[in-house]
Amino acid sequence: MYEYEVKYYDGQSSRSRNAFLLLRDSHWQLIFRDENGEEQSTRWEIDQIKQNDTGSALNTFHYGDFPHQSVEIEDPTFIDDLKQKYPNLEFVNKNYHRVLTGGWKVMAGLVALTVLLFALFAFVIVPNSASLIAGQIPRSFETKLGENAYQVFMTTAQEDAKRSLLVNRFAQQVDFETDYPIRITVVESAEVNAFALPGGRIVIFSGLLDKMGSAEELAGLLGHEVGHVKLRHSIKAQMRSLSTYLFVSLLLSDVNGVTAVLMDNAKMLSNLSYSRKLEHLADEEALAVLQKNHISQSGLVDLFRTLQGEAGKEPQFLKFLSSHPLTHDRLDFAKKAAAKQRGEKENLELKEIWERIETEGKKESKLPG
Amino acid sequence: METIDEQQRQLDFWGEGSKLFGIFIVNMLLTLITLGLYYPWARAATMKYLYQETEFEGSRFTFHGTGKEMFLGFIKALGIFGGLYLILFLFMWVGNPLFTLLGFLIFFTGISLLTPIAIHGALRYRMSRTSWRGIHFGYRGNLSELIRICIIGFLLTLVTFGIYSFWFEMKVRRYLIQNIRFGNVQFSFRGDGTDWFGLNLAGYLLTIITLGIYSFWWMKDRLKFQFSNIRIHQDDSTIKVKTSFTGGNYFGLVIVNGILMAITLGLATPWIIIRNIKYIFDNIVLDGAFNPEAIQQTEEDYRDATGDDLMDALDMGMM
Repeated sequence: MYEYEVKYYDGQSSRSRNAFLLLRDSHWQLIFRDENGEEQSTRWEIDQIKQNDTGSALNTFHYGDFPHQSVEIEDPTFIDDLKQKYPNLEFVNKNYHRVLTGGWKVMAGLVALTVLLFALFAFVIVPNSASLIAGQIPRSFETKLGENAYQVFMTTAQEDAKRSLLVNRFAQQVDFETDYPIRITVVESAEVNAFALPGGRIVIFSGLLDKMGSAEELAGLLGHEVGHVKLRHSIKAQMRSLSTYLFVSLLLSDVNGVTAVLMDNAKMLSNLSYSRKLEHLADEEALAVLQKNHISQSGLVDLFRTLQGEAGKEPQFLKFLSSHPLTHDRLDFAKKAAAKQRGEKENLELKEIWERIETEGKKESKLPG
Repeated sequence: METIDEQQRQLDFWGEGSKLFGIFIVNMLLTLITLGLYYPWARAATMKYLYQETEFEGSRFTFHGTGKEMFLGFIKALGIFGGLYLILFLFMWVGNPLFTLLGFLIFFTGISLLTPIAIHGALRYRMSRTSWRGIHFGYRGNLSELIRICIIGFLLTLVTFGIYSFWFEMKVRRYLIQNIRFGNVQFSFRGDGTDWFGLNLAGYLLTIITLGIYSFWWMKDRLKFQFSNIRIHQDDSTIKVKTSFTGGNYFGLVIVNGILMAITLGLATPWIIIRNIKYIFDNIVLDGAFNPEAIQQTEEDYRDATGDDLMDALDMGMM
């Protein structure tokens, strides 16, 4: 019969009226009693009835322009009746209702799909497009970034000017096949490490220099660090981690701390595996530079031995967590390459500069303090 | 038309976690697929549901805002933020410290002006888009007055190393609430800065002394202060808001929420939102002679959602 008990509001006052709603072919008819107890009827043209999709069990419909008349209907069959009575009209969004009332199977499917899409975005699409964009960043901007980072770093670091000069002279003898201006700074520190900044700045800690034993080893190290510069690794890694961070925090800002922490850890793991990949690429670059300059690739093998001695034996389970691929793996890789190498020559100029670097190092370690 | 004295009324909330969960999942999925463009529609869907399930005197509230309105506001808000960031970057790009300083100055002036503009716009939009029994709410505050209050408050807060912020906050709250209209019903807020400062100072000190245990009572006091100082005026009668928040029931709410959150890895968020709303509604009572049948429509339509989207952007922690 399409008759329903509803609450009717006329849009002028907050008076609540119990009314009968009758669904007609071209309109809805509302019948109610006014303040004086007299029966009144009002007509809603179908095309001016506004849908109000909320997902609630109680439905509200509005009519006409502001201020709207409205009715509230609690009848659970009403939405289905509407579909039957007006098969060609959309008072409510059918798909939306179907999904929201689809039960736990539909929900579970939606959750799985959402998680999948989210992971795809967070770990594949967003970081990869970020590295792609990083590849397009103008060189001037890259140099500026690296220069800023370098200035900040140097405010707390002590440069070893003599050895910086020598290492730079050393680097000039090697063709790195890059138009980045390579500038090397040796910094006083017991740390056995070195890093490259975007744009061509390379910092070597004196602790590493002291432990190295040959010109070839230094050439291997420089080849590796210049590889990072050439392949724009630093800026790519930063863009990746920043973009993932932005994406995750934008989407999850409203969610909660626990999920955010979980996401952070997942992100860290993904970043670490990425940085291992970058280290491997830089190693390949180093081998290529050594080959090109007829320097023995065993220099890189020696470098890894030096680093390995420093790191001690790292347990196998740490493999994935290590920010650099384990020196052991890298050592094997370099050894295999070096075994196949042909055409290496002794470079006397490099050897001479290396000896002066070594002498400087020994002089300094004898100084008090 | 009878008005009964000694009346007490409460808000009821009928929302269900499972429904809200469904809405959230659909929202998230569509937001991902559309690369974020669906976000304004997602917000509208959530608000529509929560309003629809809120009942007072046997009638539900309605949120009339649409995804389209909020999308247009979102684009404008994005433009305003983008413009400010662009200015900052351009000035920083010059590389001269003076220009950098100038850039920051313009940026922060912009952001601080944005706050009252966002509050004003958001309140106008939210109120206009909210109705109960077909009667729309409205906000009649004056933007330049709000900016004046905010600039003075901001400067005094700076000069007093933050202490004035409590008086500032109450001043803004009083101004906003007294300009809210619901048909011919008006609102006011009686809380003043001195009480608010005292409450927070005592809460802070006691929380430290009790190694954090008192924080539940402090939060309870804050909630109570914010609600119980609201007055609702209809014709000649004044309706008070009575609260029954206690440290104990607040503690229960927070602990259970925390446990739910931890064991479901956040999937319980919709249920927690519903628990929070119910907690508030269960603990506030409107007390006084009120005639729910006699409210007349007085406010105009207002569809610009820019302020609302600006507020959302500021909340999202872009600052």
